[in-house]
Amino acid sequence: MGMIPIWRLPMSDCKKCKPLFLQAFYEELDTKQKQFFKDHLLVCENCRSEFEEIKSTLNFMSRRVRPEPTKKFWDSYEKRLDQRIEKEEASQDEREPWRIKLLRPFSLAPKWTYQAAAALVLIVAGVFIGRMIFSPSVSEIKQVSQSPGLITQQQPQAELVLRTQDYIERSKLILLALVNFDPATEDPYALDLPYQRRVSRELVQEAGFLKRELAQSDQERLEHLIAGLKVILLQIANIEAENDFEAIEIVKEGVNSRGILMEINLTDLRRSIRKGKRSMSPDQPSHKPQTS
Amino acid sequence: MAENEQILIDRFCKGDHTAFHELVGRHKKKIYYLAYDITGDHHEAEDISQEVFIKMYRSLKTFRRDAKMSSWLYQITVNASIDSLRKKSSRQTKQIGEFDRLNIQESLAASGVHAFDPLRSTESSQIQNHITQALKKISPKERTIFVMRHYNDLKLNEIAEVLGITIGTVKSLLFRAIRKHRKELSSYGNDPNLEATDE
Repeated sequence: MGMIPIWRLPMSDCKKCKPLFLQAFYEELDTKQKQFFKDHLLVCENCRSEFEEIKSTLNFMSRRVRPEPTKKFWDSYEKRLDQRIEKEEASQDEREPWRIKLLRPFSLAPKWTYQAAAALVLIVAGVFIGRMIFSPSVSEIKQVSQSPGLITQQQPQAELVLRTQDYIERSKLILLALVNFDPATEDPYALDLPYQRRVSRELVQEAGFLKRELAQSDQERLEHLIAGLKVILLQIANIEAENDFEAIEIVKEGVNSRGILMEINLTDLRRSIRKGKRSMSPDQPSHKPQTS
Repeated sequence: MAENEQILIDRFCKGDHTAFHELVGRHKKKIYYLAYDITGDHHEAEDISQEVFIKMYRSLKTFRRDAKMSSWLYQITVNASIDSLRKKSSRQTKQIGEFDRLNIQESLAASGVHAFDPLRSTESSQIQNHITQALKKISPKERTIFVMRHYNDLKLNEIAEVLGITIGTVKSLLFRAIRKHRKELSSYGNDPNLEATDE
């Protein structure tokens, strides 16, 4: 078949032919493509020349010699691979962080258990944070418990107790002065009976008010004590003469028979015990009246 | 996937380790050669090929049954080999194995691999050097495609599938590689046309 001048060949054939160079060299053309390619090269010098260049370059590159590993290399290939797998798995276990090792036993647990645990942790954390932020502190509780409103509410009661204690103390001094007076050894003027009488009268008057208040506030024991004191103090107030030793002795007997001093001492003891308990629990609100 | 490969995978999933060896035996040479052709280093190639099979070992149980195993293995091999080239390049070490003839001979001698077929031992070492240089001068991707087609007999459409590119791109990169080879070989004074006639 004779050569056809290039200018007489359709350009579209060259465009179709060039993309087939590689497939032609590597024998990947189908029959139809192969025929077209063969026919075109017969008539197209440019494409034939270009294809020859590619072909010669690739043929030259085919002269490359690839070293062939020995049979021994291939025979022991799987063995070396197994060793490497074992080694990598062992080193992976060693490199595994302690957290993962620790959590591994839990990894078998179903997913919902993690979700439930996480929810529980969140709830506990929320409660804790809420209490930390929104709950009043101990000092705030103390302040609230000792707030003026509360004291105001309990103040009349405390004040009554306070006045009663004061009354008892003053009465006690009068009684002790008389009880301890010995006419045989002491000067009657030293007793200062007029003063004792005057104070006793004041105390008798005061006892009336105090008894009523104690009755209203259900302080029966103190009310009973005040009533007893009132009788004794009335006797003292009624002593007419400083040398009326007989009247003094009657008062002494009245004090002894009624056990007034012992009852006063018991009242003091109870008050001391209550005071001791309060001092042991500082967080408790203290309503105890401060006695002088 | 070939039916018998499917059987081997099923056997492996049931705990038969010999099935894994059989799969390795089927693919080991192809994987090693491809890795070697890309990296040009025997030790590197062995290392990469083993890496590929370790990946296969670990993911065989979840391997898609409709996928082609050889394509999958080639894909891993290409990626690992290109990574290896990049690492070497960034470390600016000596050029890779076969691309440095002396290196390869030393490494093969050390590992019990004979470097040359006795029949080919008379080949001009100059030609080998020129080919080596030509392969060195092209980009890793061009080299990968070139060696896949020219030295490993993968068809153009297979290369496209493995690399996830079109056949047009494969052809384009292959043409570019060939043009660079021609230019490189001409600069060494070789006339590929004359040399080619010897084949």
